[in-house]
Amino acid sequence: MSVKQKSEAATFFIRGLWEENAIFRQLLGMCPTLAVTGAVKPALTMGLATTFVLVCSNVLVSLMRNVLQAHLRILMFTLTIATFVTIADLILKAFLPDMSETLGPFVPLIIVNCLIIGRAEACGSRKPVGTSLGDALGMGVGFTLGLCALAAIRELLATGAVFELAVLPEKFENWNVMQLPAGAFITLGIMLGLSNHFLKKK
Amino acid sequence: MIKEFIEKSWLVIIAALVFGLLISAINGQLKPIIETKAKEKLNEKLAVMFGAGVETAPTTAEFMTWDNKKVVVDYFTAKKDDGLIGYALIISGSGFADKIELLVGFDVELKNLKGIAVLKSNETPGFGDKIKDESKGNWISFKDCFKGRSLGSKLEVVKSPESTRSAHKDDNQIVSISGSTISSESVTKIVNQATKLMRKALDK
Repeated sequence: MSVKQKSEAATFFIRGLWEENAIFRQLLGMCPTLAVTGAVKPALTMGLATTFVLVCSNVLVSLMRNVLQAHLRILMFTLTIATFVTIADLILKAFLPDMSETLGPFVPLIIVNCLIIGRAEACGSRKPVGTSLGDALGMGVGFTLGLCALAAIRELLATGAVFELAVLPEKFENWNVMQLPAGAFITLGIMLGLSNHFLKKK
Repeated sequence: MIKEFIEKSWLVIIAALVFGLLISAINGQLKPIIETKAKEKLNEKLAVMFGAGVETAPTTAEFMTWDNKKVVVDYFTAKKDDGLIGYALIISGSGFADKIELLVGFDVELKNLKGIAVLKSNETPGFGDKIKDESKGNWISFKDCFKGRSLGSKLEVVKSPESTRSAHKDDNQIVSISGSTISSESVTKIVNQATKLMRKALDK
């Protein structure tokens, strides 16, 4: 890898973390963002599973970008993504069965996560492997951090705990609504508003 | 024609083959682990229900309904020190949001419930999912409300304060979870259905 390629990969990695963060800047992957962020543990598992699929598919798409014919590209993206999602699903079922049950249908639904197909189209099919890897890692970690931030707020207010460790005093009256879909929309809305307010390009 | 077809789609054909092989290889490796884990989880719940040292074995029974339909019931017999101590049945029914799958345990005479365990459910967090809660101190959870319950008559859901659960220990009244009437009623309905099935299957 040349120096230029290395710096390009690093730029893409950093960009995915914040500047083009999947959740807060691009608003991609909203379905898992709203559905599995009731607690930090499922959110973290979801983020890692998505990162795994994102990295594998982006690298593979990048490897075959020169033989990819334009009319078949969406088909090839979906095929690649579906393969790695199935693998991730099997791994979760075998080694984290309880977590797999908690996440339920949202693991197979990673297949239709726009973030992954979006990166395959925007980066994987155009850039060399190194850059695609950096991009996928950045986007994946950024997505995971976003999910965990949302989940930490919701879990704290709904149960007084973070990562199942009690934080708030026992007297705290749990806000049950934060565990429900309404709580997901409220938290995401406030976080999007805040990130827009403070980080809008002047 | 064929040449054009291959030229345009060779990548898809190869990818489908390779990916298919990859998934089947991984599935072959992980499937035994997945099955063992599921079995372990079930055995754990059976041991909690019937006490440690219980040996369970899957059994099947058949009976005919009044309109001549054959019903096959898969259940477990529970033995301890070579003596039969009860039966358990896996049964599912509709809950508030999704299907609820329960493990329902009975004593030998089908006169009392040994208890229930929730195997699969997807009820509302903070409300309906309290069907899975364990008892804490003096407070009796909804699930434990079924433990040792007499099956003399059909179980019914009543809306009383949750603190009165211990007062209703011997009759057929199950005190609902406050705020989750539908989930409470669904579980009770499934338990009643399990009792009916077990009685038919064992002809008792």
